[in-house]
Amino acid sequence: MDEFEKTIRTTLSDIDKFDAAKAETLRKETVQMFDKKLKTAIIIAWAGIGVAVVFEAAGWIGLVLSMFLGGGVKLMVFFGIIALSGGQFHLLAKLWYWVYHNEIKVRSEVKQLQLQIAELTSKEPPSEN
Amino acid sequence: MNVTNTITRNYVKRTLGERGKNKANSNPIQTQSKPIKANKMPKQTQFKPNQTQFYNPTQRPATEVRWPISVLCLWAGSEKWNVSHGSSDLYNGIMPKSRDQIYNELLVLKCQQGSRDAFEELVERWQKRLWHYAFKVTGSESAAWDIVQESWYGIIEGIRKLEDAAVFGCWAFRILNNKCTDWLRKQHLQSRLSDQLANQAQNEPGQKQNSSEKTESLQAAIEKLAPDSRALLMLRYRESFDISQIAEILSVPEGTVKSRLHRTLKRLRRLMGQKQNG
Repeated sequence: MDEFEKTIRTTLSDIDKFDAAKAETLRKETVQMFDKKLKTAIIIAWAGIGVAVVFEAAGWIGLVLSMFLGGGVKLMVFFGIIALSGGQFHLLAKLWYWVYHNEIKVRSEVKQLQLQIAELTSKEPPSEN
Repeated sequence: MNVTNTITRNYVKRTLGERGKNKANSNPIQTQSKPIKANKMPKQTQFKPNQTQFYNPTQRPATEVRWPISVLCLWAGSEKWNVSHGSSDLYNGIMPKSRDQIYNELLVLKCQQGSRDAFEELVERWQKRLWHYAFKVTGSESAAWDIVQESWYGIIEGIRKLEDAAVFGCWAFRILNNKCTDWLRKQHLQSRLSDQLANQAQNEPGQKQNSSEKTESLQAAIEKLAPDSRALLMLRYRESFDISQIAEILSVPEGTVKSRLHRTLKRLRRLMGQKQNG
């Protein structure tokens, strides 16, 4: 990097029109957006799981009732499919959540380890005096 | 008679045509349009032996670190971690990263887990840089704030899908750059902006005057440049991205970035020369 490029770097770093108050407001708004998005995702996930559980329960109840009250094979198969699909969806949703979060958890732990090692290595050795 | 030469010549003639007619490729084996070069790897994955390492694979057997992580990976059900993964460089022993960089990656991972505090800290760390970039490219303070907010919305939408936390900076700047381009396109300012900014600079006497004369004239010269040139300068000299990362952010080939940078510096030097002569 020559002298001219160094001057460009210095010039570009020397910008102080940044409005800290506005930045603070924007930060709060952004965090609120994040919260909102997170809440929406949680609501959708729970709603999906709720629907799956309802389907599963309804399927099993229907299956048992059609078995004992003589609703016919077609009805039994229908309720069986509903119960199984509800159960599978419920299971898959939980499995996906478990895999995703565990993956990120392990990655975070690795990062934390890296951070600790970096902190240890960056510490200067104690002076002898 | 040299059999190898004859066979090679025949092969080249048969597959690529006669020399001079079809302008045959001198290396028929190389079929990739953009071959991978070792020295063109992104900065983050390059091995730098001169730096202080916190993990040296030659001093400790890899199995010491490898087995617990492999067990964890199996437990987590992620087989891809057993091969080279961007964020598992402790495990691979590729290169050391700065504390700041690791902490940033940790924040991104925590955001992916849904941590509000981590996201708040991430915003605090990156907002100023993003705003400066948007301000330099658009030349408008209020537009820069709007663009940064829109970019954050894009980041919130996509952060869970970000596979490698190490590329967060590059990815965020790419989103921001796209938003800036959209804004410029919307305003139909791309051709006129340079003149407007030059006038604006002349009409604003209250601007910061504490820097040297050279820095001031350079600042004015930078403001006369086109938005894409300013974006390039910001990414290269303020954000210190390397050529491959800039190419990734601007979605152009590396060669284009190099030539644009060369042209921009040349133009800047000319503008500075004019200023000094005038």
